[in-house]
Amino acid sequence: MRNIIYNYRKAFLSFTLIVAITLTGCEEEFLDADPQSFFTPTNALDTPEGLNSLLSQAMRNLRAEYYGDGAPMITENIFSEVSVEGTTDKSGPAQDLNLLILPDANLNSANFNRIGWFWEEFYKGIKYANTVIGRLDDATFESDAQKNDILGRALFHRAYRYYRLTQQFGDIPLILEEITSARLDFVSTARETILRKMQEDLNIAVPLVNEVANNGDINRDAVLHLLTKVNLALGDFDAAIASSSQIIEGSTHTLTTDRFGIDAGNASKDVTWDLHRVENKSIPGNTEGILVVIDRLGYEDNGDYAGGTSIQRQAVPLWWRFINTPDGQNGMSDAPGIDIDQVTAIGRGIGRNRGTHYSTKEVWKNANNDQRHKLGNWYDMEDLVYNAPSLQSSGNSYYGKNLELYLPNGTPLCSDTIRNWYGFPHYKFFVPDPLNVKPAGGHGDWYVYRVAETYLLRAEAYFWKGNLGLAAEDINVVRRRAEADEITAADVDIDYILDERARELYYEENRKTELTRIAYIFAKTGKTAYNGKTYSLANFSTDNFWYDRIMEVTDFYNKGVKTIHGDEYTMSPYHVLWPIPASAINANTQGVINQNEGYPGAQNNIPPLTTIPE
Amino acid sequence: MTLDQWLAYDGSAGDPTRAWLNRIGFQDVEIENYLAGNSINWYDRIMQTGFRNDINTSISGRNGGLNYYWSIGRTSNEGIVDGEKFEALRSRLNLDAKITDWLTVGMNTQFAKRNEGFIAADRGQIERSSPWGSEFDDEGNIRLSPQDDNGAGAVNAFLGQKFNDRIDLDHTFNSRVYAKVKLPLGFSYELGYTNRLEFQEYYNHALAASPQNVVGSAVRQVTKINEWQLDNILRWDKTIDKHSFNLMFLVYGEKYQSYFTRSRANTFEPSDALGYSALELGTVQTVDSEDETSTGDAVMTRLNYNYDSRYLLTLTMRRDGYSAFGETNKRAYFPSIAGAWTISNESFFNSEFVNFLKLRLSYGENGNRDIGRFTALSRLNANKYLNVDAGGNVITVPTFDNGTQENTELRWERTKATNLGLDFSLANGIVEGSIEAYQNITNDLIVTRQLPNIIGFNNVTTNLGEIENKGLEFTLATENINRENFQWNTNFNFSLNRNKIRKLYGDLDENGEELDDITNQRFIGEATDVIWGQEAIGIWQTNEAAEAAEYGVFPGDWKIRDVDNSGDFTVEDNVFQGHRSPRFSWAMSNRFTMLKNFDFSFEVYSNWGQKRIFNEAKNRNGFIDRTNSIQTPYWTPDNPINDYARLFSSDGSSNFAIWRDASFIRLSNITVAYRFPKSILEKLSLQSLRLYANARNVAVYAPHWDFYDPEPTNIDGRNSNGTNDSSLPTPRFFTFGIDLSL
Repeated sequence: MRNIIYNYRKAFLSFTLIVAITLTGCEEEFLDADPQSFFTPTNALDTPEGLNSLLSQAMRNLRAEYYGDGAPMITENIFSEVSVEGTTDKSGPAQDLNLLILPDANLNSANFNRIGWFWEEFYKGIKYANTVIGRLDDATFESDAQKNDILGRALFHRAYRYYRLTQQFGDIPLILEEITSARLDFVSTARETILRKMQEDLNIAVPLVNEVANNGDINRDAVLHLLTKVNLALGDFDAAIASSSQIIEGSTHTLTTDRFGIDAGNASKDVTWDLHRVENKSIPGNTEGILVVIDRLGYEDNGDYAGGTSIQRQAVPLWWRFINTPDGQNGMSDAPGIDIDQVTAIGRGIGRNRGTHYSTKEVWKNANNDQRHKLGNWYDMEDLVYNAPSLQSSGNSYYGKNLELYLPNGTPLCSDTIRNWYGFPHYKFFVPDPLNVKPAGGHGDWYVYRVAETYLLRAEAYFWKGNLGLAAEDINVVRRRAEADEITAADVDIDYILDERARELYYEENRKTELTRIAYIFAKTGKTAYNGKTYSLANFSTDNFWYDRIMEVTDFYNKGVKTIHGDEYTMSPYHVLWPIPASAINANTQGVINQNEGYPGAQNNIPPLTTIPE
Repeated sequence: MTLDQWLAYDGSAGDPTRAWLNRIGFQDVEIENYLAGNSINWYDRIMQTGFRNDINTSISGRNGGLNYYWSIGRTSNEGIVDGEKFEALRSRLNLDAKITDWLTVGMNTQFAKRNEGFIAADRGQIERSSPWGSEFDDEGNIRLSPQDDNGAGAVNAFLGQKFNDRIDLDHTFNSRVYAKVKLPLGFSYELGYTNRLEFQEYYNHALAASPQNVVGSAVRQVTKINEWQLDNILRWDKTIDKHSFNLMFLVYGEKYQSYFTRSRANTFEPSDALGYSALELGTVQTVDSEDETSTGDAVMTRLNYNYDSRYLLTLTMRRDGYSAFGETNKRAYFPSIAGAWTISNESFFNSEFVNFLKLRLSYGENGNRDIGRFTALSRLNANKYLNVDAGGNVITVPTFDNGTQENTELRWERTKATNLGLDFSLANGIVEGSIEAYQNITNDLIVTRQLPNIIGFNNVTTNLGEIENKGLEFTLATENINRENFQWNTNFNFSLNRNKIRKLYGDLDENGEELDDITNQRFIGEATDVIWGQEAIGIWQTNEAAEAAEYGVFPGDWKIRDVDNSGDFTVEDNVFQGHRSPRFSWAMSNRFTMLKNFDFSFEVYSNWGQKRIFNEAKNRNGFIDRTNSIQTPYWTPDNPINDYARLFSSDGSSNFAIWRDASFIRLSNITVAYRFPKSILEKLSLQSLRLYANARNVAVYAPHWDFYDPEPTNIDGRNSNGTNDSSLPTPRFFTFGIDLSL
């Protein structure tokens, strides 16, 4: 027993000794627990790699507009002539715009709209760029060229967001530095003042940015393309012609006119098909993509956009329900692996982005050989067939036959022709989705800028200058590639340019942004539009080309059209500018962020800044 | 209307029943089952009566100076949903050895193993799967969706269970070793070292064979947590006549370290048969890891002074340190003082009725460090983006997202607590109780502050002005009846708390008044849990159609209070609508002992005055035309109710939630027990034997809440913060137990 006690003591004594050493050893730094698994600005943003990582984050942020469920770009489409919100089974989706588009409403949800997404995420993009610009001098660079390229790309990212925000929201707060405290005293700056600053920045950026960059990042032509849009927005048409010509006359990017890529050997396809295969968008043979965002299968949580494009789910009609055969039986099935497996071919659409009659029919009158509208590239509903297994098993004669919309007596066979019945460009929407049982549109790269748009932007600049011949020639470059009939100078007006953009750039361009830009040009220049009207900046929110154009060509807004849920499609001229989210105005308690005219809160506005404080 | 006219409406033909079902959106499988008279009761299919068993054994004893205690227990609990289960094994060993008169050493060690690797059926499918769906296809394979509409959320409830292979284990080892040394002159010293080691393992394989999956995917995830605490306590006890002193000095340190590793893979080649045991066969592999460390320390001195068991005084000063605070504010000092006067010990106090009376008054400051380990820092969230090089090769590039602002000033939250209490015992202990009133002023409350979204940062963790909490607590224990064969005791307590924001960040408006923080819904002079928003005040009725139309809605939709009569809904229309947490709570337990050996007890408790979101009253949860739904009352022109909307109601331009009073009184526990008398025990050679039966969650009375439990719960325990899933049912537990001592 004595022995045991002795052992206890020994164990105890050595134990206290260790403890005493531990305590005295760490007193000073004991409470400094540095993060082990993440970096902080102080230890990681003072290198070129750190700054590049912020710019790559800005690219991720830019990419997100085009991907996922309720992709933000759909909101750009439904605030234009090309699409409407087609989820007709509930209240909330942006259909009754007069009712729903308000500063305090839900402005950032797949089931409502993404106005708030643009506001929040674009200001995040501005933050990344401002952080890089502000911390540039903290870093040591391998060369001036490296430093210039980083600065130039940061200037691009900031200008990209301000260009978009000023077409979406008009006058907004201009922030040109990283904000490191809880500032609450912002005020709005005039749209034109912001655009002037961005034009200046982009002109600085053009020579700084490398001519050639990896696909998925910013190169010099991307800067020039954005500069062209800013030049147009400011009415500097000569500058727009110069900046777009620099791309077109350069050798880095050219319109792709020959077959290439994954299906090049398939004679039933064409160059339009090739151009839009996601597998082809960033391969060396593709010279057309100026700015492409990258998303690939196999890079899960390692650079991909989680879930991918989801484009078929968003933009293909909900073709798999509520369509009867002419003998009154359910006609459709979205089951994969059945004998007529249409879901794998075209995806399980939910018709959120519903192409209007304008974009799916009107602009394709006289399409003739236009590759962009030929069967296989384009599907109309009548090109699909009745495929329900119940028809097959009951021996129904309509099984496998093409869909019909009406009985001879005019009775419709589809109970919701808004959501379930419209044509769509399969050549753009077909993104293989091998991870989904019912494909929704999977991972793939996406065009943000490509040369075809550069031509159409230059054509527009020539039009504003009154040079219709050169405008027609630029449009014909794009049309020739698609084997569409050529046009003459007499055909060129803004109506035609918008139609051609709808044909070439549907579900690619930021349609609301571009249409608003054009509306601003009419208002700023006072030029008479093809509809015979002239516009002015003074009453932009009550009378503008954006609203008149949508009313002229589309068949939904303010025409008494109601969804099956009972919501009516409405729109007003003031929707040309989106409401500033009330959260931003409410949180900014020590300054006034202006609300756009037509929305509650605009009565509190103060004149926006027209200069940039030093 | 004739049948032919009815059919011709949409060109239907043939069997009118089939045409009707097709028209209202039944899928083909539902139509076939309906016509064949087949249906599935998903509630019965998914819910079950779960069995729980819990066995605990312990031994304890003393051998010379050695005290020992050893216990081992096993729990195996099934839940109320098919497949829901957890298992645990626990063991504890306590040793305490008195080695000499002046030295005691000991150890308390605990081991526990929890197994949560069981997969429950998807309970939500009760509300989504169609009763006319099919669970299996004609070949007997499990179907992806009973009604072929997984897009509407109707997925076979048993897919997760059948097509996942899972290990989810948690092992913990806690050990504390200590030594107590008696020193001369009334000093004593205690040294303790506690170490906690925890391993959390989660392995899961989602099989490619599931109709839900195209490829198999698997994950291995391991977290190791290692934490130690070291405390040194020096005490001095001294009594001089009627003065007694007790002085304590503490030095304390702690360190927490965790190591998390996760590996994932999918798209296995040649197949996913080996699952998580061969992640290298996956063609897409990802890894991530996260390590965290935090440290804390404390130094404390406390003096207790007691004069003649009448006057008590306690003085404390402590300095606490925690690594997560801003660079300059890691440590803070917290003093406190407490006094008590035992009036009943005074010589002038002579009451037969009042046996004990003590008045307490205290003031103390204490700190809260309940923040994430690195919230004071601006974190560069690292991720990846993709580029494609000139050769067409995909390369990953790193990204940094500076998502939060740093706050180098972040400091301890400090509460100044003033407490007044009275303890009493009356009539020889027949009535005992205490009354307590408190006021707590919290300064520098640690909050997440949402920032104006244009600066690109979502939020910053910061210290917020001043909040006042005041409240009253009352406890009473009574011995109602005390006869030889019948005893009845009651315990009752009541509490109420009111809080108020007194200061925020110090931002002033043009009149010098402090500004409310609307973004975070913090208002000067209001409680922190106040509900503020557009208010639903009823349902638009048929005769109000024109008025409803002005707001873009229809009869049957919710009517929202238009405070400023502007015809639209903005922040100007927001109103205060009550509170999220209870306005007061009470609990009561009664215990009866009959014939010496029978015990009967029951417990009741109540939370009163809190409100919870009840958007079910909008009648548009999920796809009510494509899935099953919980039927709630709904408005129609013939059923013009005022508290539930029409089906698929519209919010118009408003952005509101329906708040309902979730006050309740719950009969939470009834227990019956029988203790075997000595005479029987002796025959069985037992020390004690007790049989008992117990029912928990026996009944709830909630006058304004007509849905699942007003106090949401889950199988792991009660959670009443109001943010939980409002549709989690609370199980009712019946327990039969045996306590036996040899």
